[in-house]
Amino acid sequence: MEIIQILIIIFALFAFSRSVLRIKEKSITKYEFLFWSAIWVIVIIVASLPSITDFFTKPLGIARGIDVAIYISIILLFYLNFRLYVKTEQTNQELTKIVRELAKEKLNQSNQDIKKENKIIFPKEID
Amino acid sequence: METWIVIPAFNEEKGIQKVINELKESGYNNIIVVDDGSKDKTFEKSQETGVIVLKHLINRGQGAALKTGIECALENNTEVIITFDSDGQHQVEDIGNLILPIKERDMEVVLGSRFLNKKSNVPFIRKLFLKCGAGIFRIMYNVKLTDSHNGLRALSRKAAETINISQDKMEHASEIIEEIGKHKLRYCEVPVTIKYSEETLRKGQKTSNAFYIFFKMVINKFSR
Repeated sequence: MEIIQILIIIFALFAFSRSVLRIKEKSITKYEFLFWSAIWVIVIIVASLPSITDFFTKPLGIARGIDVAIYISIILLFYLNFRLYVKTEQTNQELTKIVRELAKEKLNQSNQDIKKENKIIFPKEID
Repeated sequence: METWIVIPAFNEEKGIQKVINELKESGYNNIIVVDDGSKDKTFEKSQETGVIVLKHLINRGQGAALKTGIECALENNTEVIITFDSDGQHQVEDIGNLILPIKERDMEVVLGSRFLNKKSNVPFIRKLFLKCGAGIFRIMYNVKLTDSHNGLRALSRKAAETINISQDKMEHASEIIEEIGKHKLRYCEVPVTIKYSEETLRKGQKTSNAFYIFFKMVINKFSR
């Protein structure tokens, strides 16, 4: 086994342990945990047995097995990047909404304070 | 017509009072300033003038500030909303011409164009990008304009209620055009003068930002 294979396996195990921690903290869902676990297990299998990718070469028309892994990784990275982009946009819009509501609330509050300050107090009626 | 002026402002403590006072001297007393998380005294300086001032706790961008101001104006009995820059680039005298088509020709959106007269000292590169922008608007949104990304505009109440500004940063200017095309709002352009100074060019939108705005326009077109 080459050093690069060992490094990839160690990294994948580390990343898998992070996924386990996140599911314990309940900061990711069960399905997200399964998705990431599957990714890291595939990485470990491909790193330990690179020849396994040769199985896909003929049907996909790609010369080397390892190229299949690289192409799939790139596609996956693009997809995850897109999902992150959408999520960031959503978070940004939600943040703006909160900032906007706080600005309006503060304005309403200061308007109410002004009204209270200007309230005319009439002297008590004489019986 | 009840007119409200919405001014988004970010770090404009030096010039904001001058802009507000000029507007008030010309009889525009319904003014909303949205301080978009300035680090300087823009909020305090604006408040001293006695106009309505909203404060974003953190900087969210010009589009976000405009939307906050427009929503606030709609809560009042506004018939026309003018969007006006805080850096002194826009001229108060142009506001009357922006309101007129809404009042007399039943227009819903009136956009200022710096290319319908020759009074604006637009740098050549900026002119090139703005003209390209106008061409792209025509292709993508079927809205025919001579200028793009001009912040001086008038919206009727109906247009302000219809146009949804979801883009927080400078892309909102393209989004407004997209919304005009999408909702088939009646629009026209009127000549306005933009006065560029070293200060406004330094603080204002970077010409190179045009590529990012175009990227966002394409993304938005396909993700909706």
